[in-house]
This record gives sequence, C-alpha cells and structure tokens, in this order.
Amino acid sequence: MSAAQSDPQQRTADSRSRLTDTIRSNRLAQVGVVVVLSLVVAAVFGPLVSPYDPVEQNLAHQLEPPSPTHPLGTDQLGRDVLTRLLYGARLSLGIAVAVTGVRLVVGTAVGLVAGYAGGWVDEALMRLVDTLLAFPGIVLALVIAGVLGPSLVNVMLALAVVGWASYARLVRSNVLALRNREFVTTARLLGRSRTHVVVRHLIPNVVAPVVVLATLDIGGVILGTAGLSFIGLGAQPPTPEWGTMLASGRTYLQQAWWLVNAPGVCIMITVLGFNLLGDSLRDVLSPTQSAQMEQL
Amino acid sequence: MRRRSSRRRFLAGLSAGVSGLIAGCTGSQLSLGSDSGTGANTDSQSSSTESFSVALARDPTREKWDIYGGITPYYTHVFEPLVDTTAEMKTAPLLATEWEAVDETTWEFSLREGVTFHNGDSLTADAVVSSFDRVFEQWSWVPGWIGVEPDGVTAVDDTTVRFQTTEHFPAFPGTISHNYFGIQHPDPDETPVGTGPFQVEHVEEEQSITLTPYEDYRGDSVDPTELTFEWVKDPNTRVLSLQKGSVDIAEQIPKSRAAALADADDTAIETQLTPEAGLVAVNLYTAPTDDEQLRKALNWAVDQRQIVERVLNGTGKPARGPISSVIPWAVHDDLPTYGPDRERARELVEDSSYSGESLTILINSENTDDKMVAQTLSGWFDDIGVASEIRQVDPASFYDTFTAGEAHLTLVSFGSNSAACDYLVRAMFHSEGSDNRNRHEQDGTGIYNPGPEVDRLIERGYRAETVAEKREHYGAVQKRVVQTGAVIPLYYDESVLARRATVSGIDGHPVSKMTDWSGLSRSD
Repeated sequence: MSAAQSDPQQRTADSRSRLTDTIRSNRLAQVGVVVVLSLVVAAVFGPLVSPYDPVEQNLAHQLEPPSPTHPLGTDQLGRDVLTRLLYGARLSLGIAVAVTGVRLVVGTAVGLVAGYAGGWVDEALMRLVDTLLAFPGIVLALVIAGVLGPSLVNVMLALAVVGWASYARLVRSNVLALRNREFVTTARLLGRSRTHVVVRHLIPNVVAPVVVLATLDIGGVILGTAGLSFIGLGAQPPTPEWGTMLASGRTYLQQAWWLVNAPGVCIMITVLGFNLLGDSLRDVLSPTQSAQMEQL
Repeated sequence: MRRRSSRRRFLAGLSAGVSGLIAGCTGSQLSLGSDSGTGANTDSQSSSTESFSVALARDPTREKWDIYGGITPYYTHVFEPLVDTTAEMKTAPLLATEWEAVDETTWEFSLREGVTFHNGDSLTADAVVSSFDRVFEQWSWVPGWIGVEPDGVTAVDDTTVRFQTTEHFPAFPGTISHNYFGIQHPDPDETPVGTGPFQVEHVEEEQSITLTPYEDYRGDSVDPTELTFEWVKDPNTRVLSLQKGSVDIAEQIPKSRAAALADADDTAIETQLTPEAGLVAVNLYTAPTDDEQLRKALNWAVDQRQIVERVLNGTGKPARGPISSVIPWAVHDDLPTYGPDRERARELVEDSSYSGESLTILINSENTDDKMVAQTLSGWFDDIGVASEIRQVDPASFYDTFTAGEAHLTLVSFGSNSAACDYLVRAMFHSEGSDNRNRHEQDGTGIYNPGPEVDRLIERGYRAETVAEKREHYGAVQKRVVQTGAVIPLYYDESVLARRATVSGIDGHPVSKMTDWSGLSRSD
C-alpha cells in the first residue's frame, strides 16, 4: 500500500473531489442530494413557518380537501396535514439519524474488536452477528417493540438492536483485510498500542464503506419506523408521525385521498432520496465495496 | 343434595362468569326477533333461489366454538335458546313457552311442543339438560355467571326443565336468553345440530360457514336458500369486499366509513341503537383523578354531541350516563348533565389538586374509533389545562392493563348480549365486579367503583323483581357515578351494518348478533 492510500486526509480530499464530480455528472445523484437537503430544510424550518399546531384539532374543519388555506387538506380531526407532515419529517429524520447512529457505533465497535482481536472473541461475536442476521429484521423488531410496549423510544430501540449486525460484518471484513497490511504491521512494530492502531489506522480506512451503508440504511430505518407505527407499535396519537398518519388515514381512503397519499408519498420520496444519495456515495467513496454490501 | 352457596361465593362466581363473558365476547349475541313466541319469521315470503353472504369481523369457526360443533352461536340462528331477547331488551318465549319461579332459588321452564332438531329428533327436557351440561363442562365460569350449580339443571319430565340457582336471582330467564345457551342435540357426533331456522351445510375452518333453511322448521320458512358467513377480519377489507360485491352484507363497519357507504349508489347502511355505551372509566384510586373536582372538570370539558356528530360521523346517541338508553332500567333522561363549558372546567381544574401531571388515556389499539375519540378528548383536556397522553394497548392485554389500574382514564364500551343487562352495572361499579375486583382484592380499592353504598344499591337492584325496582336502585347507581365523575359518559352505540343496495329484508336487533336474516331478498 502506498503512503497516499494510508493517509486519511489525502483520501478524504480525493473522495470529496470525486463526490463533487459524481454529483455534477450524475442526474440521480443530484436528485438524491436535492431530496435529502430539501427534506432537512423542511424538517428544520418548516414547523417554524407553519401557522398551525400539528396536534390541535378543529372539528369544524374535518377532512377539508387541499386548498390555499390548507395546501394538503385537513385530517379527520381538522388538523392541517402539511403541518403534521413537516413535524413528522422532523421526527422521522431524527429517529432515522439516531437509530442509524446507534447501529453504526455499535456495529463498528463490534466489527473492529472481532476483526482485530480474532480468535475466540471473533468467533463469539460473529456467531452473535450470524444469529441476528438469520432473523428477518422487521420481524425481530416487531417482537422487541411488541414486548417492550408501544412507544417511539421502544421502536427506536428495537430497530437499533436488529440493525447493527450488518455494520459489524462489514467492518470486520475490512479490518481482516487491513490488519496484515504493511502500514498496520509497521505501526505495531513501532510499538504503537492497539488503541492507536485501531483509531489511527483502521477506523479511517473503514469509515467510507460504513458511511455508505449508513446512508443507505437511513431509508430502511424510516420505512421500519413508519411500518411499526402503522401497526400501532410506534408513535402514539396524536404524534404527527408519517406511519401513524398513514394508518389513521387509510380509513378515509375513499373520502379523503390526501390523508394517505401525503404521508405515503413523503415516505417514498424520502427513502428514494436517501437511497440515491447512498448509491452515489458508494460509487465515490467505496466502489469496490458495492458488491460486498449488496451481499449484506 | 343441593348445596346452598354463600352470598360472597355467589358474587365471586358471578363476577368470574361476567369476566369470562366479557373476555370472550365483546359484542352481542343472536336470537330470532320473534314477538309471537314461536320463533318464526312472521313476514316470510315464498322461497326464492337467492343465496347471500355476510362478512363477519370474527372467525365464526374458531376453536372456541368447538362445543357448538365448530360454528358460532351468534348470527347463525342454527341454535335457539329457551328464552328470546326482544327488540325492547325484554324476555319472550322461544323454545320455552313459559317459566316460573317455584321458590326463591328454583325455576321451571316448560318446553314448546312439536320442536324438532335438524336431524328430526324431538326436543326434550333431557336434551336441554345435556346442552347446558356441555357448556358447563367446557366453560367452568358459566355456572357462576348464570348463578346455578354445575349439577343444577335437571329434567322434571319430558317437557319441563328445572334450574336451581345458588341465590335468589330474578334475572335468570333473561340471562339464559344469551345465545351461549342455544340448545344443541345431545349426541356429540351429531353437532352442529340445533332447532333453528337455519341448518349447517358446510364449514370451512377459519373461513366460512354455509347454512341452508331447515325445511321442517316449525315456523314460517326463511327466504334465503343459502346463507354464508365469511370471516373478513380487517374492517377496511370488509368494506372493500362489500363495495366490490364479494359479499352482500358486512358487519362492524367503522363509523368513519358509514357516511360514504350510505351515500354510494350501490351500497346502503343499517344502523341500530345498541345496549352498548362508550365511556371513559376514571380511576378513582390514583392521583390526580382521585380528586372529584378534577373529574368533574374533565366532564365539563367533554362535548358528547360533538363526539357523536363529528367523530363518530353521526352514528350513536350522546350519552349522559354509563348505561345505554335501550336498556329498560337506564335513567338517561333523569341524569344530570355537564357542559360542555370549558371556562367552568378550567375553574374546577384550578380549584383541584391537579398540578400538571399527564393523565394516561388507555385505549384498545384495535378500535379505530377509540383512537379518534381519545385524541379529541386529549385536545379538550389540553384546552382546560390538563395534560394527557394516549396509550394504545393490544386487545389481548387491554383488559388486564385496565383492571390493573395502570391508567387514569380508560376508554371502554360495554353492552349486554342478552335480555338480562344487570351484569353490566355489577361488572363496572361493584367492588367485586370484574373491572374492579383485582384492585379491590389486592388493596381494597378498585378502578371506578365508588364504594360500599353503591355496592349495596347494585345488590338490591340485582334482586329486584320488576323493572321499576331495578330502575330505582340501578338508577341511583347511575346518578351517583355521574355526579361523582367516576365516568365520563360519551355515547350510546349504534351498530352499523352495511349492505348492497339491492339487498333488503334485514331485521335488525339492538343486539347486533341477533340480527334476523330470514327475510333477506334481493332486487334487480
């Protein structure tokens, strides 16, 4: 491996340059970036400019169709759907980032320990990972959330528990490839501590694929949260969460199409946006990892 | 020799029975809407070649119905009880033509002559005893519910059956008008064989039951040549099945869909006020809802008319009390009314000990309408300065969570499946009633049982011989629980049955599971 390859700063600069080039040349990447940025802006600033309270009901204005006053109509309790969507975006994004963050940190830590320590530690951790990966994630999350009881916090916990294994597997495989490379061996021969080797030489080299996986994962977490809330395990009414909105709106599918379509389209666009962004990042940051991650 | 049980044992058995009953059935029951005592369809027409399908919310073949040969005794009219429940929620003769209390604890029922089972065998007193014994053996809580010993049903002669109750129990005939006591043929290999106007043609487990008319039925013949009950669990799917024409009739339609179905050209709805009331049970034994001022404030904040008109889409009747006005001893008109007056509610909150705690509103996650009602209530409470949070619990653990006293406020709805509705008031407000027993036995409290004075009133009502007497005692209970804010009455339920516009002849009943299908017909 060349010095440039092991220099994180140089790699970051190269990646940034390639990312910019990719976004400029790739229409889908542009769409992903625009969608995600729009969503973030809407989630952060939207609720500040909306004149309505997301939970305050107004029974005199039930199920009003989209109009200049209520651009996405009102729901069955007379609440402004757009306002609820904006607050819901804040909630969905917040949950997605938090859950993905927990998955990333836990999975990366486990993968680093397993890959670098090897031996029985590696065996034990990987069997645990295998066990978790053997379960369909959403079913396991369903069980955990069901046992813990319906609440957003429990849903976040359930999604975090079932999702970190992929990160661990990815990080471990990268660490296994890296730990016998010259720059790692040299660091060890120079008497660097394990912590130093891990922090200074291994982590910077596994960040790229992990970030790509995390970006792709965010969409899945949003879907998982919405799914669990849809069946009543997540956000409790009147919390404006997209899955909950979808569930309560389906009763009015024929009377008020906007109640289901609005959160449904939001979920779809958001997940699509994150997936497009993730794909672009993968192409740029870790092109050789694509196949590996697809297997995961 | 018969054993005479203690009053406490009687109450415990009764409570256990009611508890099991409530756990086992959340709706109503079936019976023919006979007012002549013959059980016959009085306006039957000449037979046609029509078959009809009805979408039910619950599996009509589920394991629970094994003792009925694998079919539900609700809706199907395959089995008939001794006593009928009329549209006025009173008793009427069905398989028994008359009954009398021989003494305080003995009832004798005279069977109708000329009644035959679907296999041609005659109805006898022994068959009735066998049928009751089968239910007692399967469900140990049933004797407690109807107040008889397991060996307390005997045949006096071929046409007379005697029931020995454990205590003086004037509501006994109404209690056995429940369709759990539909009489079956004594031969277990012959099940499901009853005496009703429909007989079983085919059962598809966990899917459907197909019935055909019993040609030798003693009354008038029924119009449909085939009647199929299909299990369609999801309410929205039931609606879609109806709209698509896959079924002719769908029950338990979400209130939110009723208006659209009524407005459509090819569908229509039938509504019927039921003996069920929707209300908020207020936990009297936990802070801050142990404060009567706060409970009254919550009552003043609630607008029952808005709930019925806006949230339940016009189905139902605004409630003043916890007992539906359909029930003969309900005192709806005599009950005090609260607001809505949010200003007054705010003043009461300020005068109360409330200090900003968030009240838990417990709801059953399966009930779509309750989610809406709970959000509406939460908004109103917020408006008077009382914070609340909604907690959804799955149906399997809802009742346990409620009776464990884990919530300040619980949305419940209770109705009777028989002409005897006494158990409602006992289950809700007696300290040993099924809703309060857990907490009462553990620490002497309960959930929304106001105390010994109400217990005594309920016991008097239970032993009352006439409706007027029941009204006096149970009426006092209703006033007491409303005045003290032990409940927040919301609505008296209306059942919503949707049908294809071309289908007619549904004879509704306050107990929706007693709906009579024998006059079904279809127009072009």
